[in-house]
Amino acid sequence: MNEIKLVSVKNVTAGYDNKVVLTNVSLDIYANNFIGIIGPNGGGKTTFLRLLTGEIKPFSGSISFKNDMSIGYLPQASQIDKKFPISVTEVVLSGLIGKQGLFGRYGKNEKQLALEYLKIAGIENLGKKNIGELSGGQLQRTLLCRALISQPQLLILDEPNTYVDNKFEGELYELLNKLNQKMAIVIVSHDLGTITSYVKTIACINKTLFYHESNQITSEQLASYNCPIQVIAHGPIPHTVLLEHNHKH
Amino acid sequence: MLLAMIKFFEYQFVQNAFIASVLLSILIGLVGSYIVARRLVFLSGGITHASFGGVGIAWYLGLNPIAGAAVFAVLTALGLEVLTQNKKLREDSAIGMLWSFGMAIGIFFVFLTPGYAPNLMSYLFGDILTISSTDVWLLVALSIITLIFYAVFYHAILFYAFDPNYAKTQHLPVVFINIILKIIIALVIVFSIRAVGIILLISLLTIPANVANLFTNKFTKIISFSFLVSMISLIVGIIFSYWFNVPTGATVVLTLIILYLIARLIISIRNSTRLTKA
Repeated sequence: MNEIKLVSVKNVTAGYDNKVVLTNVSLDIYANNFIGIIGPNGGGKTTFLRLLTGEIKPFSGSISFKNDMSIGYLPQASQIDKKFPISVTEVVLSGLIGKQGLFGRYGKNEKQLALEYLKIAGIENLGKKNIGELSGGQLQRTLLCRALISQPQLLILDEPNTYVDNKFEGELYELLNKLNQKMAIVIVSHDLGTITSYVKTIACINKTLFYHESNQITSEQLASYNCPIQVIAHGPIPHTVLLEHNHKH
Repeated sequence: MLLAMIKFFEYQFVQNAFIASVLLSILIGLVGSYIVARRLVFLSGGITHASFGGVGIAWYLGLNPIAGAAVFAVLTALGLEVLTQNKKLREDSAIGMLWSFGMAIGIFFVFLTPGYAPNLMSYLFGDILTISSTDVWLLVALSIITLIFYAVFYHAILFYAFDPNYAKTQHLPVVFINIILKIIIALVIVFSIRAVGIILLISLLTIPANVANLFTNKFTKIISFSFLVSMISLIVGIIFSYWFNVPTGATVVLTLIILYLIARLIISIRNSTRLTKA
């Protein structure tokens, strides 16, 4: 068991423009975690991720990170400017910016590394393409490569399964399973059915955070967490995801 | 005719104008590409117009109007950062306010200044033939600083511009890059005022990079291609200013628009021949 604590969120209140989105959120993230975040739209899922990545600071409470913590972040594809003149390889290389720093040079070794990640994502033939020419799924793969190339200790994914074909979705979850041996993963998803078969634990976020130490969750538990999300199971699911509660009619 | 040409190039102010247009084109290539890629066109328009406040105050006090414009341009660029911090004010609204605020200050002080102001038109519409040797040396300095900044931080600038949020999550000093780039943008704008004037300046920042972007998506190529495009337009501007005595700014803008239309035509012809071949 890898019990190194990467992030410690304590009693955090956060939001934008003095408008509070999250109140009293606490969560510890350990090196071996694979946490699925669920919750209704506008409940604060993305806000929570922004706290983890350091994009926003909490109004109150504290977030502490392990020394030299590195984060790979896969934002929602809609946040990317697809008209920006930049190639797939360059986007992947930009994932190294934390390591390379302000004066960073990107030579043969870095480009070779980028190519390896493109191969993992199955898009090695797209390296020279401009991001504007990509499909939604190809863009997601590119952004995943960017998040992975720095070999982060914590990988954060914001709805990686929107705009993505089913094939990639399956591949993605298998890949994440493998990656979880090396890094902690936090993933936001609407798709409760699929997500729960891969994650280890679940966090429900709706104005605050309820942590559920298992990947199996019942509708009643969801209701008690004040987490009104639609439970729809998709396609063939490896094992029971949502426990049926025992009805006594 | 030949004699007239030789005489034309013998004038110090003509030589200044040509050297200035090469240097300005380098700056426009570097900064315009960034402005267009990051969608900062409206912000740049705001900085440009706000700088008129500096022109007006300097005019009133009898100082160098370009120095006044530089102060106002940099303060506007930094002021926008402060005003939009914490999202208390939306950026486009803040730009709209500072844009008109600067113009108002400028007009106010120009009218307070006694006497007729014939040279004022050159700040609004541009007159590249009035660029002095001092201006040229200042342009040399700014070009060197900007080139070094881009050469040293090229990838940091590109990656920051593409996705500032991601750069922040990777602990890149995004505030540093942003502030330095905004100051450079402000100074490039001020130095372009002499050439094309405040009112038409936005086209020089926008059109060359857009022409380039029609042919290439590579950032370095967009920079060098827009250098060429702005160079052509400024030279046409100099020639028309000299022989027909029309403001440089108007000529430059019309040339740029024509170049853009030609570029679009080339692209559509290329696409249609590709289609017929296929």
